[in-house]
Amino acid sequence: MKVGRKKKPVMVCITSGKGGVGKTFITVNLAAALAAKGKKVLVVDCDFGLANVDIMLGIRPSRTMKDVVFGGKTLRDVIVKTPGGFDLVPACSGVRDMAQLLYERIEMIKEMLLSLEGYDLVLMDTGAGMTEVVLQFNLLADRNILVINRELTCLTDAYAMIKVLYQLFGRDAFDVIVNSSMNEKEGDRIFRHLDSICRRFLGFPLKHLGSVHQDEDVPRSIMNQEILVQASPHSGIAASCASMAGILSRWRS
Amino acid sequence: MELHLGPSSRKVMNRRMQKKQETTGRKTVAGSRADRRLSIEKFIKKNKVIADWLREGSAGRGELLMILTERLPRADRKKLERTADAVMELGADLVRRIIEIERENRQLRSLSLTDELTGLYNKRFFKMQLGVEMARSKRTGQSCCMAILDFDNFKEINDSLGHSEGDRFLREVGLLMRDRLRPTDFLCRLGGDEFGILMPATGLVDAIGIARRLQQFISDIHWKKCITTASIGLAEYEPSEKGDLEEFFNLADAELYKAKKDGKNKISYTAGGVERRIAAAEPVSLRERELLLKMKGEKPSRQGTPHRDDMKRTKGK
Repeated sequence: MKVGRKKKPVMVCITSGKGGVGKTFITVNLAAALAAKGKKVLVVDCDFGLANVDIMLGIRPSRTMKDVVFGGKTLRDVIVKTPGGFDLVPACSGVRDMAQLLYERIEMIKEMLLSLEGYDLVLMDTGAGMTEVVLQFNLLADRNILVINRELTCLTDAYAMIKVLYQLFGRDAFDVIVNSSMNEKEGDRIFRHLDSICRRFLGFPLKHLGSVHQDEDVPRSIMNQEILVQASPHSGIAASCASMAGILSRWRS
Repeated sequence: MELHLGPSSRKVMNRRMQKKQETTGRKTVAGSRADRRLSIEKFIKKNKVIADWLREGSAGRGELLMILTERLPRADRKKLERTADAVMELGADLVRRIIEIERENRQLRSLSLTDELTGLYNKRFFKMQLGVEMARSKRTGQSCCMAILDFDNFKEINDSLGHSEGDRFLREVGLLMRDRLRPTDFLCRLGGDEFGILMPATGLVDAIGIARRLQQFISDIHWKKCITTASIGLAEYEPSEKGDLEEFFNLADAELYKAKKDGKNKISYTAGGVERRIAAAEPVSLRERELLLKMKGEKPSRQGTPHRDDMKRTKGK
């Protein structure tokens, strides 16, 4: 009954609590940077009700996660290749049933994900909020990445997420990516702020994966539906994505 | 008169009796006073219950030989004590003790914790361990789960292949199922084709995974061309809950019933657990919030040494 041990992918869940922090942007660019390093990466759009990874990539998948959940398809059937060099399991947008997936269906998707082979990493891009689906995918992952920015609401939401995952499920290892910081120092400061509060109230430190600084390239790349690390490979963002991808590629499940 | 004696102690008893006969035999020749006294063998012969028991032997299954007497001379009493585990005089409180001992005896007999057919634990053990795990949950704050698994078409196997084949099915599938659980889980046969799984220190999420694995495994079995499926009822015990052992057990049982009613080959559980826990979780406190919001006060000009500043402030308060 054991799943082949040869190549179990590292499951990484990217979450933030608050929406609009840049989870999807970071997921896509990290995935592309990892792919550039020769890793086999699968991105799973776990925002089932409101998909946006496909939009960000400018692709129109014919099949989505909806076909897996309700149409009896397997994950393999819906996986699409993306221009970023990684694979994607697209979610569907505007299907209300998908947003409130039944517990059992989540389990089904989880089982399918866990039995996937042939990938080095699976990046799961969750939706905003602290819904059942978001928590489930966070629990499923080997590694949890939190994306934060300098907004106070974002910090409190991220902290609330950490607290729930710690108190209810015993998770105490989180990697943090600071998004849209002014510079390296501000990125560090934002991270340390959250870190000090975690240390103090929850008793464990966070890990700083890296910071992605503000750049006018970002909104442009999103508008143009490009992947920034590919469109401008010499930008600062591409460099920080590459360095974070370097850390991720050393993770083992 | 109450007598219980197992086969092994009966042998000992017989040997002892033989010896006794020799010695008492000598004594009757030697001393005249002994004639007046009742010798042990005569006493036993005279006493109908003991005599009957010695003849039939097999009646008692226990390991305890107790002789109840009316008042006896001390010497005789001592002789009796050599053969019996206890020699007691009849009396009100003695009767009580007999009842006690008899009860203990019966308990000992039923105290076996393994299921005869499969060699797994039995229902008795399951309930006992369930109590232990619930207490552990209360102490550690970590929930535990139990599942009741029932084969959907076991009757067909029994009907088409015969009862001995049905028994073999239960035995082998039971052991295979045990291999598919974690070493800390308990698999017990609750009776019939119903199995109980106890998962200590396990949340509902993991328990569902385990149940699914078992269900998948069972549906893959082809037993002499019979395909089987299983229905599973799952329940999570949360330490904050007040319910007792029976309620917890019944919860899983009710879920099993639901799974059966839903058309079999299903896993049923109450998913409210996680949500309830989220509702009950300690929210982000005002103090935490306040500190998180402290960020605002930091001006870009102070970015140079923000870390130390930050730490000082959080430590200071």
